[in-house]
Parts: sequence; structure tokens; C-alpha cells
Amino acid sequence: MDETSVRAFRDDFARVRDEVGKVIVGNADIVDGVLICLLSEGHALLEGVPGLGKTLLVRTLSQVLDLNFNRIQFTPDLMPADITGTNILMEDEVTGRKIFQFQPGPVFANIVLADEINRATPKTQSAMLEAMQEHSVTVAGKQYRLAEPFFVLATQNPIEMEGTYPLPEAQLDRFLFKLIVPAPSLSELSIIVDRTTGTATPKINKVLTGEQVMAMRQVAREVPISSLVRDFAVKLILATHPRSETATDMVNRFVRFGSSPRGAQALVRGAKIRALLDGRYNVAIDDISAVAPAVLRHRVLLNFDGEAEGIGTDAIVRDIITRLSAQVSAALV
Amino acid sequence: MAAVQEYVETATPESLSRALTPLASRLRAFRLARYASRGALGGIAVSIVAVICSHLNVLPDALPLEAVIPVSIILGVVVGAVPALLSRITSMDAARIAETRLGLKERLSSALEFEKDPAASGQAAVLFRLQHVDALGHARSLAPREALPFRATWEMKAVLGGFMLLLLALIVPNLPVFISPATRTERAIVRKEGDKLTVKARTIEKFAAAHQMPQTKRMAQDMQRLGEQMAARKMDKKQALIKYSQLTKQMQDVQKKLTENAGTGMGSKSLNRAGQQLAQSLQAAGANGAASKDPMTGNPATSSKAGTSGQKGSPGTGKSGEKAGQKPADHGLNIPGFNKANPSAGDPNKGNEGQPNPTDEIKKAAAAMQKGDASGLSDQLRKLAQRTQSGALTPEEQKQAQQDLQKLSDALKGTPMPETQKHSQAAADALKQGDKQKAADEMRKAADAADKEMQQQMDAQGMKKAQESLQKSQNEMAGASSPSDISNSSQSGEGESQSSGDSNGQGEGNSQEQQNADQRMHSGQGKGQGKGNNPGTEPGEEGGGSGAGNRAGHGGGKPGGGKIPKQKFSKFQGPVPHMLNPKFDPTRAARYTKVYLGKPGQGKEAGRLGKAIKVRPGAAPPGGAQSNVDYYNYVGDAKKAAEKSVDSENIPPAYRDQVRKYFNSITPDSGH
Repeated sequence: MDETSVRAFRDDFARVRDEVGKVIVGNADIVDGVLICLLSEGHALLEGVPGLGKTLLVRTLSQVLDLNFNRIQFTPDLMPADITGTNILMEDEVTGRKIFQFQPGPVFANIVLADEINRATPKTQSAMLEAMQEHSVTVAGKQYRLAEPFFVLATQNPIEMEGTYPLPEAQLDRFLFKLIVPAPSLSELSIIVDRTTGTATPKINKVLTGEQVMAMRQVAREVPISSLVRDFAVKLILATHPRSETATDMVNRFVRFGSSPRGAQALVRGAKIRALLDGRYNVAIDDISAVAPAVLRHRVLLNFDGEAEGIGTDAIVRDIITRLSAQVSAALV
Repeated sequence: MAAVQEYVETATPESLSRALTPLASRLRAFRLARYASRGALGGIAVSIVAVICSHLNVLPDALPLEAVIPVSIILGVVVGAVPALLSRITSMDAARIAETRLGLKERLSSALEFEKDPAASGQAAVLFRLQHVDALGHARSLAPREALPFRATWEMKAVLGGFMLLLLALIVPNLPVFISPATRTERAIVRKEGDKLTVKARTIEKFAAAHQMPQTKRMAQDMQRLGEQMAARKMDKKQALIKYSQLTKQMQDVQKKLTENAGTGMGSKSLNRAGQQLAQSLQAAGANGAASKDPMTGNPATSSKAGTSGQKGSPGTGKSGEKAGQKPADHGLNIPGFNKANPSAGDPNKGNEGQPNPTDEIKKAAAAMQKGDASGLSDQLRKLAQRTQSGALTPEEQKQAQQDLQKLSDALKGTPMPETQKHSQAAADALKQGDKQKAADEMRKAADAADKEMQQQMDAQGMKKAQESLQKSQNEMAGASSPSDISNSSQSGEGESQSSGDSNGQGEGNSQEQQNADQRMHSGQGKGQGKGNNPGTEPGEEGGGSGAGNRAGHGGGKPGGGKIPKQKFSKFQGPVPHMLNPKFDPTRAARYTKVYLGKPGQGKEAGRLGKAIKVRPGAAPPGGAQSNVDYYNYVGDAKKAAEKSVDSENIPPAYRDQVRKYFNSITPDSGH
């Protein structure tokens, strides 16, 4: 890695964003979040009601990046083998003998769209666990590596909707970010209507190869982080645990479980990308604070009171950040 | 690559720290100001508490507001500033401040931390270098004023508010609207009396310093301090009287201690009397007992009526001067006359051949003692010691010296100079045994003891005078109802005797005489010259002292014609009066107090006051008046009046219990 690749990071990122922006109207934060997940070696979970362009976003991204793309439509009757692949009995054309041959499932791609992931049963959802964490699939005792970069983009409908199965905590924890896709604004919707009902179809160019993505991942990993910022991230994670030393009143009252250490990893990884995008070469507390909601909103589990009161995890995270930032400022003079 | 090249060229590990130095300095100054403000705030809080305590009269005297306020604030500032000075302002601190204030997003602090990171020094650590270049660029363009603009912190605002509060606490309670006219008058009285007391105390202090009277000096300083407090502070009469009482008690304690040190139970015989006794015994031996009249002074009557002279003075007869001259007081003043009257006495080699002549040193010592000059005594003892040790004494002279020392020892018995007496006796014994060396040593010890005991006596007497001055000031203030009631002069003892000669003469005479004694003590004047024709009415003519009451009312004798000089004590000149003068004898006042009854007589003894009687204080006159009211019918009312006085601040708080005890003791049902 040299200075050129470092400086090219932002340019490449901007080019991808621009290309995606040709199709996706608005939702810049969502696009950025998805790209950050991609470059942070994580996976993204997009949540939103149907029709907000989640699938379009992922598909567009796959078109922008010169990578393999598979889409898995999760349904209640989807089986794990339908995702991972399975051994099927095949006849050897040469010898005529019957042999079991592994037939890779749709998960064997660089970019996997797990559409409406919460419509499948937890058993099927769990089929993604190994692939997402280990970047490998084990079938019939044999492990198959997935090609890099491997990036899962899952979409889900809000849990309250009919016919959904809430993702298990272990599954949720595998996602770097959980991004809430908002409804488009008036102007955005107007543009969407214009773009999709006319004859003109935007031409999407591939701007990044898999190698470039891997290089960008390497650059992001090397962004240094000071102990001050790292400690802030750690304290933030610990503060999500009720009855911990740094837990806020809100956490103690409304949170059942706090974030796992994966949350801290996700915070730092996401913050590093944000620092580079901001033209810095060091991670700042602001970067941590910026990615914290997306990192923690699916890792902090509310208790009954929290659910009943309608307290969002974002509010709890903001409360913790406010408290910690005040502590850092107070220690200055 | 350009950035990395720039980094290699410009960035050194110290570059970033150096770039942050101005900011660190500014931060240090700000922290100092902030911490000092906190300290000052504490000092102001203490000061406000002190002011409140002062208004509530619970602030100890040792902590005057004038000192407490500045000291508290300065101490607070120092205490607050010390941690700020001791705490180190690092580049990291400055970096964090700048980042927070200018939104630099941990660029500087991260770079400073990465400087120490080994991973950052590798050639492959491109991002570390880029980060450092980025941070250095920001640090170099940093304006300390922008990062740390001057802003009044809450501490500074609180200090300002605290000062305002302190000023209010000081000023508001003293605004005229909050002070009653009576209180204002009282304070004016106290202030005026405080000024007077300060002047008086300064005079006493100077005198005490000049005559090496340390305790008196210290007490005078206390008096001066009290005077200054009274003059400066908003003190009412009650507070002032309490302080007077406290200081009086303190002075009494010191005086008691001094008296104890000077020889407890050694009697009250004065040095003058001892000198007279010694002179007589020497003369009796030297003149072969042939003196039909006093060989020392030429006056026929000697000390048989010492201390009572003047009683027989017959003012108005024209001869009173001669009679008055019989006073032993005049003996003391006429020491030079001793040599005139008896020329041979001054020269041991002349006259009285065949009779042993008194030792010259002892003779001179006697003369000095009669003047109350203990230093003269010690000087002569040292001379005699030297002569004895050098072997200059013939056996006859040695024997004579032994006898004279014995007489000296005898004469000193009963004086407050026990050590001197003891060593004199030891010297006499040593001479008797022929041990010249020991005798000389003892004589020197006696001389040293005389100096020391004299000094202590002087100190004790000085203390007594200071106490009297204080008491007088207290009385004057207690009795004053307006500032004009307080005389302007702090040396009120100047001028003529104001003795009226009537039945009140005692009181007035006492007062005047005491003032005169004060004046003499202060001015160093007062050596009596009123020998002979002076009817002996000049109080304190032998010098300052406490024999104030002895001649009370004598001034009434002057209208009787004859050549009675005007009694101007300011005319008295001479050496400093000695504290061992009989007039300083405190017991004399109690033992010999004269009261003149009636009005100035007519006829033969024109100008003579009414009948003079000698009474002890508190005793009824002989064959005294008969009360028309049974005392038990009156004591109740008197007690009530006393209680009223006690409650009405006229009586110092320290004495209130005594007043109550007194009336309780004399009420009929208490067994009296």
C-alpha cells in the first residue's frame, strides 16, 4: 500500500456512490452505510417496508461492482440447503459411476442479497451464520470457502408485519450495520416516479473490481486509532450493558442485553472508513458516534419496559454518546 | 508521495509538540487563573463568614477583620494556584483542548500518541505518516486565541459576585440606616477613647522599652492594639468594655506573676526605707551615736514617721514648710545635703578618728538606696567586690566591710530584694571567715541580683501603672454618654493639683495624683524638689508611683498664706523616679488613706481643711456617722440598683459576678 492507494480510496468510494446514485434516489446515508459495510468486511441488514428500494439498491450495487451477485428470496419454506448448496448424486460421464457432487447454493457469490430474510424460518436463517462469519460453508462434513470479497446484504420487513420470523440474536450480531430505510421524501419520490415510469434507463457502469475492493479493505484496516478514541468505543459498548459501571439510567431501565464485543469491532471498523471518507487518517470520536446507531441498534435488546414504552435503541445509544462525550470534555480542563 | 516527502523534510517527533507550545502556555495561564479564582472564592467565603462572625461578635480578637480578609483571599489564591502550577500541562492537554474547541477531530492527540507508537515508525506505515503530516499542518495553523479565547469562567464570575457580597457584608450593616443613634454615639465614644488609649499605650510602650520592662511593653502593645481596634472598628461600648476587662485580667495575671517572681512574701519595705535604715546604722556607728539631729539631712525628725509625714504639715501657718520638710520623702531627696550636713561622712579619713569609718562603697550604696537607685547599690557592691578581691582592704577595713555588709543585709530584709539580701549576708559571712574570694563573688551575685530584682520591680510597677491607665480609660469610657464627655488629652495628668479640700477631696486628689504619677512616669519627670518650705502637699513629689491616695486633699492647705509654691508638677525635673519609691508601695494606699471631713476651716488655721482622719479604705470613720436607715432596709434597693447597673453595661461584664456576689453576701438573709 502506498500513498496513492490511500488517496484513491475516497475517489473510488465516491465513484461507486455516484453510480449507485444514478439509480437510487436519496438515501445517501443508506448507500454510504452499505458501502462502509462492504469495505469493512461486514454485512448489512436493511430494514424497511416493502417497496422502498432495498432490493434495487443491492442489485445496483452488484452492478456497479464487478462482482458475482446472487439473490436469495427467503420464504417460509426455504431450506438451508437451498442456500448453502447440497451434495447431489451424479453419474460420472466417463466411468458411469454414481457419485455425490457438491452443488453450490446461491450463497456462493461475492454479493449475496438475502431478500426478506425474516420471512424464512430461524433454521433457514441460521444457514447463513457460518457463511457470514467464517466466509465458508460446510456441507456433509466438507468445508467450502467462499470467494472474497463476500458480502451479504439482507433486507427484512419490520417484525411487526405478518408472516415474519424475528432473526435470532446470533444472526443479528453477524451484521455489521442495521440500516433503516426511510420512506422517500416528496421530492425524492417525484424523482423516483419520473425515473421509473419513463423510457430512459440509467446506464450503470462497473467502477470497482473485486481486487480494488480488497485493496480498499486493506487501506481501511490500516487507519490508525488512538487509545482515546478506542476507549470511547469500548466505553460505549460497555455502557449498553445494564447495571454496568458506565450504564446510563436509560440503559438500566430499558435494556435487557447490551452489545457483544462484535459491536466494538464493528464500531471501529466502520469508523475507520468514515475517517477516510472525511479526509482524515485517524479515527475520531465523531466517527464512532456516527456509526454507533447503525452498529448498535440491532445489538442492544430492549426489555419489556423498553418495548412497552416504545423506546428506540437509537435513543438509548444517543443518550450514552451524549453522556460519554460530556465526560471526555469535562476531563479537558 | 508529495505529502510523505514533505513529512520527511519537515516533520520531526518534536515538531508537533513545539507547534502546540503556545497553546499549552495559554492553557497553563488559563488553568492558573481558574484555580486561583477557585481559591479566591474560598477565601472570599471565609472572609464573609468572618465578617458575619464579626457582626455577631464571635470573631476572636486574635483574628481582626483587617487581617482575616486579605489573608484569607491571598491564602486562597495561593492555595488554589499551587495545584495549577504544580500540574503539568502537556502537549496532549493542549491538543485535546484545541481539538475540542476547533473541531479537529482528534487529529492532534492521535498524532501525538502515534509518535510513540513503534508501528508508526516503520517505512510501511504510510497512514501514520499521512496522519502526522495532517496533524502537523493543523497544529501549525493553529491560533491559540481561537482555540482558547478569553472567556470568564464561572469561577471568575463567582469571584466577582463574591467580592460584591463581601463588600455588601462589610458596608450594609454599617450604613447609618441600620445603626441606631445610640449605637453611633457609643461607637464615637469608643473610637475617641480608642484614640486616646492608643496614644497612651504608645507612651507607656516607649517608656517600657527605654527602661527594659518587657512585660510592661508587651501589655502596652496589647493596650495599643485594643486602642487601635477601638479606633478603627465599629465597636460598641459593650464590646469595648469586655475587651477592657479581658485585658485588665490579663494584666493582673502578668503583674501577679511578676510580683511572685520578684520575691513572694518578702514584705513591702521600700528600697528607700532600707537605705535610710542602712544610713542610720552606718551613721550610728560612724558618728558614735552622737547625732542629736539627723546627720544625714540636718533634719531633726527622721524616719519614725515615714510615710505619714505631711499629716502634721500645718498648711497656712507659715511654718508648715519646715514641718513638711521633716518628711522622709525629703530625706530621700536631700541626699546631697547629707554630705553637707555631715561633711565628714563623705570622707572616711576625716573626723571621727578612733572610730571605725563605714565602708565608703556601702555608704554610697546607702545613699543610692535612699534615692531608690538600685543600680547605684549594685555598682557599689561590685566596686567593693573588686576591692575585696584585689586585697586592697586592710584587716580593719575588711572587718568594717563585713560589719557594713551585715548592716546592708539587715537593711534589705523585708524588701522585695531577697536575693540581694541573701548574697549580701553570704558576703558578710564570707568576710567574717576571711574568705575574700567568696565574699567578692557573693558581692557580685548580690549586685547582679539587685539589678535583676530592681528590673522586675520596675516591670511590675510599670505594669501597675499601665493597668491604672487602662482602668482610667475604661472608667472614662463607661461613664461617657457622648464623645464630648471624653477629654481630648491623653495626658490628663498635667497641670496643677485640683484637690478641693472638701470631703470629696480624697477622690479628686487620688485622681489627680494618679494622673500626675502617670505623667511623671510617661515623661520621665517628677524628681521631687519640694523640700523644705513646700508644705509637702505635692502629690508624688518624690517621683511617680502609686502612693496616690496618701496625700489626697492636701492641696487644700495652700490657701493658708505663707509661701506655698504653686503645685506645678510639670516643673519637677530630675532623674527618672524609681519604682521602689515608697509612693509606689501599693500597700500604703490601703494602710494610710486620709479623708478630710467638712469644709475648709476658719481662724487660726485658715485655709485648713476640715478635720483630717486616717482611715482604712472601706472602714467607717472613727466615731463615724450614724445611719438613719437600717441597712437591711436599704440593701434590697441597693441590690436592685446594682443589678440594674449590671444589666445596663455600666459595669464591665468581668466584674458583674463580683457585684452580685457582694450584694448576695451582704443581704440580711445571707447570714450577715
